[in-house]
Amino acid sequence: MKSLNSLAIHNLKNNSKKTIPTIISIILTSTLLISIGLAVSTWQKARIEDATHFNGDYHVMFLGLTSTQKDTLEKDPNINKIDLMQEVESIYTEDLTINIYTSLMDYQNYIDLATGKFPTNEKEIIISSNLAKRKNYKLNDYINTYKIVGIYNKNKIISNVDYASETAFISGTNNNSYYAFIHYKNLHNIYDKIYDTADKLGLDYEVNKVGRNYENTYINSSLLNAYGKYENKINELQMYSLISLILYILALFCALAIYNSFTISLQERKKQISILSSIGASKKQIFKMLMLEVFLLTLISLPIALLLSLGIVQSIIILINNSLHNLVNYKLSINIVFLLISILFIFLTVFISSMVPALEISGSSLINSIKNVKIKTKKLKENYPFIRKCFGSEGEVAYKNIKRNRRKFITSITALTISLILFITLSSVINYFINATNSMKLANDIRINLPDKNQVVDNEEVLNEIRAITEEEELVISKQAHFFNENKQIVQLVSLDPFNYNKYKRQIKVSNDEAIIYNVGNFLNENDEEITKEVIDSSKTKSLSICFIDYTTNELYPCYINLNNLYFTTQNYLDVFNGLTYVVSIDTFNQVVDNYLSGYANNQNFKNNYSIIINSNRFRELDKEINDIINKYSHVDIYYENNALINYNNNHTLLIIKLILYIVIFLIAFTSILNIFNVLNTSMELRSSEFSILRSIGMSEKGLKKMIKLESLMLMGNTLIYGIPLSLGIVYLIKYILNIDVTNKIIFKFPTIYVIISIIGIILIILLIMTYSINKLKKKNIIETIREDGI
Amino acid sequence: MEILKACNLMKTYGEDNNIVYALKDLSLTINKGEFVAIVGSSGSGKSTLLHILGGVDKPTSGNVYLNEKDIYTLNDDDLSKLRRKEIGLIYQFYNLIPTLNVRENIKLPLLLDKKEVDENYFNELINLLNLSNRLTHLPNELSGGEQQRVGIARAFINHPSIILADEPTGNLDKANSLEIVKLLNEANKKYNQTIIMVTHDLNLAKYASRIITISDGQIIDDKVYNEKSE
Repeated sequence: MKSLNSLAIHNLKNNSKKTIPTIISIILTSTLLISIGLAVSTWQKARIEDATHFNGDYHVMFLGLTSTQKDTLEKDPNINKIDLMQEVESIYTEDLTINIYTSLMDYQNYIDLATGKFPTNEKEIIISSNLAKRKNYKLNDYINTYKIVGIYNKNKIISNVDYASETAFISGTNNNSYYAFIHYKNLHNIYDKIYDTADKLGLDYEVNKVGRNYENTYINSSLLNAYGKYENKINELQMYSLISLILYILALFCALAIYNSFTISLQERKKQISILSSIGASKKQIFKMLMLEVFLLTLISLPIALLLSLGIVQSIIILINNSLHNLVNYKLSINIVFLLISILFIFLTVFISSMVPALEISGSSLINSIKNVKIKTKKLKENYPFIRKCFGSEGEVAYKNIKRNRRKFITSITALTISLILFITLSSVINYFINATNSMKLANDIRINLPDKNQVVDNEEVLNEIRAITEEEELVISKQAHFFNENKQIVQLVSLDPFNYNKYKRQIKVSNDEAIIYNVGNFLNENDEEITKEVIDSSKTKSLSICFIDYTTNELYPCYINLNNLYFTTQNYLDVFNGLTYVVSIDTFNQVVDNYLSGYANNQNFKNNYSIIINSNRFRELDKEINDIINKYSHVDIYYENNALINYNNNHTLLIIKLILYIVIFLIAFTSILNIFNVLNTSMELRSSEFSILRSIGMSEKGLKKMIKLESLMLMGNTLIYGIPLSLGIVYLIKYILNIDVTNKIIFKFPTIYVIISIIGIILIILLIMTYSINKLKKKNIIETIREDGI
Repeated sequence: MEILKACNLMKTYGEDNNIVYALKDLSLTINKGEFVAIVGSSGSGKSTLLHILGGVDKPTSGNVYLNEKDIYTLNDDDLSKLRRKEIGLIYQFYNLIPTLNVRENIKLPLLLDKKEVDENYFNELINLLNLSNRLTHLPNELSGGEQQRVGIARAFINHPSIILADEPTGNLDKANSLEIVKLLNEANKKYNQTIIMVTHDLNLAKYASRIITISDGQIIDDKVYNEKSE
């Protein structure tokens, strides 16, 4: 047996032409699976951490529970852990509320203490580091009667991201009702378990679109969603169907790639195995020898794949973190279950893939192996005139060969078809995501709003500061107010600063001081898709008036301002206008506001409401400068959004997502090409003796080419006939799954470009391999090739 | 009448110090209707000679004339055509096309030549070779002897000028070997078919009308027999 083992190692070493592609196949497919596993577990962990950070670490929270209800909870067999807290009081300061809770639970498990100690009585309090920073609290300071004994970084129970409130904890109990933070034993049917608990507590509920809405109940759906649990069964089904579908295709692809590599490398060695068998090696011995080879191959490939996957995923994480600094901080998460499943799957695939041909070979009779053919006796017509007419007698031989040797043919078609399906499906899905992200794209500018509730002097000061930092930039300062027209349609009334107002007028070729009507509104069509169209019939409208709505009576009141000399346009100015907009001079604007203020408004001052738009390539530097202004005027309400920076970051994220997906596609494409090359090339090599016999009995090189061409054509034809409809079906299915219960439905578009790319790809790959094989065959001596086949 | 002529054939393998001479300046002439056996020990160069005569292996130097045509001056297409029309090859390992059945394998040279099958001749051949009940079988469903008989039929179907048989009995038992050689002998007589057979079995060689003995790539003996073994 030892000699057979050394023969196995010898085979692997000496047959490197086949060993290396097999190892590459295993490495690539394993890398693909492990990388996906690592990426998913990293992403899931980030989602879970996010959900825990923002919403707290519990599955459901019940408020205002009585002692009896608390006892009921403690008896619930599904519940793993109940953390009980009671509200003590809320302390209101000028800019935030400090909510104080008390509990007898061991805070150590839930609160990450930065400094000090945990409270031991109802007079000691621990506060968040955020609160300490905002209010400049230090240890041993007092908040009312509470002495600060500790400052914590993070509590895992109650979110502390609400800017208007902060959380602090003391120790002990009181007579108030309970807050119960529940952890269930497992997440299986978690929503049913929550309903069951709420029912036991006697809580009322309303049925909503996704499930039940219980009173005094807060389900931590962000956390549950991160674990893949959705209250809406359709969402859950949608997610699992999509994941299963993609995993199923990937798994099938990986299994097929590995199976093909082994079948091919073992097919080639059938004769060697037959010789071993003929000199007395038992089936068991041969099987063991083959399994040793498989084991060694997997042992070599898996660590490489593991390292490659870790490298790829870690590099992508570094890339994302670096390009989105301060926004995200992903950490590689190695989920042992995911990893073990991937490795187990690879091991199983490799062993099953190798066992089938190994069993077949070790169990087949000597003479069958020597003959090295597995051909079905299929009754065929003697003549195929159509094929003979189109491809000559060589074509007829090729046709009969394919008809009788379907197994090898089907193997090749399957390899090609699966690769085709994967390419079209993944590319189309990626395209959907890219289109979806593109359609969500924001305007590419910086927007600042100085609302009317600020002091006039404050707004003016801020405006001047902004002007100072944007001397070189394109700056639009406008006053905006919302009113209604006669048809109760919302109208944006805009007055641009003189420079931009004149520029806009020049742009749309309006000379005198008319009201410009940006006549565009957003509407939903019959398919619930958002479309833009004209709002007012410009041909029939000579004048327009501006109205207010008295919300108590829902009646319209005109503001006694009529706009005449209207100029209708659909041309926006630097994205300032949003929907139906009346662009007027500052005088008209002030007149409308004065009328409104005198008649209907009480303390609002629209004149002081500024909207600023900055277009600049310096959006990153400006971000810092604007934030400095915001910090300087922290008492002033300033609304700021840097769409350019968000877009920049979004584009980066999109780029990285694309990069990841393209890496996946590259791995798939590379494995596919390797797999196809392996299948076709070996099939050609195994048939080189057959080709030489044909040449020896007079088939010319031209005839041989013709024969191989017909075989290639049939291969291509069959692949495209099966591959394209199947791919389209899967793409449609994915679109269908994604569209279930979604308002903005994805429209199925024929993935023309990907179909064309794949058709060209398939044709090129087959032609290249066929040309390569023919050239290789040309160099071979006829008689030597025939002899090689003999033993 | 001279049908095949080989002049100063030389075939070498390897280079410089490792050079091996498979054929050394070998010349011979074969007449129409002859049944020639080429005998010699293993490695003597007899198969190499046969393959060079059949246009499937090229000599290092020298010429082969078939019907006065120098076959190695032909281009690949013309050489293929010559193999198809003028030469019938029979191999030790039969070398049938595994995906074609017996009928299709036999007719293959005609199919490649785009010629219609002479059904009378086809039936005559399969009766002679006792293959009439095996026509729809695939090669892997036949015995070794049967496969070799298909190989012979395939070689004969195109009425070639010359049949070259490379150890046609090398893979068969004694009874089958005898049967094959007898069939070749019979075909030689019946169709006045020129046959060159390579064998190392002197008992089988006796069925030929001429025996050429080769050693170290050279002809060391060339005898013509009028009386053939029966």
